[in-house]
Amino acid sequence: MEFISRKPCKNRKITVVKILLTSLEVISLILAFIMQYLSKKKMGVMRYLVFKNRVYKETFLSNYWMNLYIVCFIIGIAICTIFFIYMSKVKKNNKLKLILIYVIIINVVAIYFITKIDSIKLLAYPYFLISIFVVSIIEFIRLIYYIRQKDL
Amino acid sequence: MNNIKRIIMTLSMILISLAFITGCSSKTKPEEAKKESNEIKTLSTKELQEKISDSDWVIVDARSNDAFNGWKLDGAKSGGHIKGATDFSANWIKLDKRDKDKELKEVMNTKGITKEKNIVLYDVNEKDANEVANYFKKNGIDKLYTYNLKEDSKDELKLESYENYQLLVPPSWIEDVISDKKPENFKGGSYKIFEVSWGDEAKDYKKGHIKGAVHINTDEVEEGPIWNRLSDDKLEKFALNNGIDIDTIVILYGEDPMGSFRLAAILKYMGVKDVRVLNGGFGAWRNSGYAIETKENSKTEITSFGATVPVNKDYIVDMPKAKEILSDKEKSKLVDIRTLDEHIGKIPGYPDITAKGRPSGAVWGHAGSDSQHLEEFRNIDNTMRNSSEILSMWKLEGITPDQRLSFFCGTGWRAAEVQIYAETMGIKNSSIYDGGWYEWSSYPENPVKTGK
Repeated sequence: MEFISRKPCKNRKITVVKILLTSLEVISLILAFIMQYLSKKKMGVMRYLVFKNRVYKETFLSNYWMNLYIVCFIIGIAICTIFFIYMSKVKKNNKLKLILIYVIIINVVAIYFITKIDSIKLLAYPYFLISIFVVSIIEFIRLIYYIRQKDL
Repeated sequence: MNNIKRIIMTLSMILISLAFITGCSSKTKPEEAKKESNEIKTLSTKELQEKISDSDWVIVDARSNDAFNGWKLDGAKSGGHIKGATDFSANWIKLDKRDKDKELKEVMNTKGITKEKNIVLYDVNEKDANEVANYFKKNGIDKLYTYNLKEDSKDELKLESYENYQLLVPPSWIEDVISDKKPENFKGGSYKIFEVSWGDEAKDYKKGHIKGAVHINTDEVEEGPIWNRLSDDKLEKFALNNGIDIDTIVILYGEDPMGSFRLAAILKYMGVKDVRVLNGGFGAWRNSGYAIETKENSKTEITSFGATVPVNKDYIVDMPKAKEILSDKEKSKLVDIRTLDEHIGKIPGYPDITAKGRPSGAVWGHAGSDSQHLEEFRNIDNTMRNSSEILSMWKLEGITPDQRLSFFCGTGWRAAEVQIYAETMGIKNSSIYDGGWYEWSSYPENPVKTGK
């Protein structure tokens, strides 16, 4: 009789969490695209987004907060870059390097989005920004988890 | 021999079945409809005249809404309706619309067309009245009479038209203009036809439009955050981009006519002398069977508008004027063309307006089921509701045509349609308060009221 090994319960939980996090990233992006698509199709959606952009510009999209986001993303890039250099010299782990590059790219895209994209032309701007935050945070969580797992 | 008999029997059975099915068909042919209605008595002019002021009699115009308004259609030499008549167009019965019969039943009740009353249906083409009569009969109305509105009887019956009926045009008028036929109320000259709807995508336009029409996106004439009309210099640029000057005859329409009324009001404010709107929207054109094209037509630019915008600055007013109207409680009314729930402050009515209520002192002028509909001013086919009913509706709210009236809604669309109707009816001193509830509620110091 063959002994069938079962996946430990803890690993299954981790897999579920990974799937949930990835789903969250995908859903947030899809939602942003849907809002942008609808803004071209429905006058009510367009006007609602214009109104919301105006409200958000006085709150989490104000100049103060936008500058703070840029600083956060720059810090994120700096941390990842330093870690990348450390990894290159001390420990050879190509997978971690790839993850670090991926996170750096996300942060660069975020900074580009904040500084170059016009919220007047991209009506779903707040939703795209939220999805970029969601993706950045989740990828940082994944990175930290990976580092801890590999005991680096 | 037996086989031949069997074949003959089978063929006979088939023929008899076919004859039976055809005979039982529920579709009534026009001749049969006329035969049914021939049982209905036709009144003479003298008999009709005696009944006009009798409250037990309801005189019903079965022609198109355009003929009722004043247009000379179906070869008639004079237009308009019999004074005191209500309307129930044969076109309404032919509409392909969900819950049509339920809606028409309500219309009949509103117009007093009930089985207790004697109903006289009149037309010009000896067809419409019969169709409507048959429909009424199926709905339990038996006391039916018909009358044929002949040319020689029109003077005796005192036909009346709306003062500015020419603002709302029938599809046949546009068809005649396109075909160079110089119809009634058309002086000739440069004309332009525009399909008006929101968005650059022009979904309705691309599906099919009136020949020669160009699409106008309503965002070309208004802008956020409160969606007022553009500044006067930007409006002039808009007109030049679309080849419109003050002498251009501008014909507007839309799948949903509200956008075309919005643009019509803005063009009148700017000073364009001759602006027309297709009564009933693009649905009326489609139902008329006229040609539809899908080829996209480009805008043609011009260099001069021909006047300084605005020529009619009082046609659309802003907040200071609205406040002035509110302060003149006796002779002026700021009329709220929004749903009752919006008026009393139960709902804001728009996803981008959070405030609820109305400017203190504004009166409710009726509207529709929501911010995109205006059922209380339209017939089932989106043509203009008859003026007597609109004025009766307003009278209950203390709104009379001799007052200075300024219509507002959330952002000016519903108000624009009602303003054009008011002008069609001949109301002299009326305007649109463009900023509407959106602008009014943006200023915390403005007095606001909620509740009935």
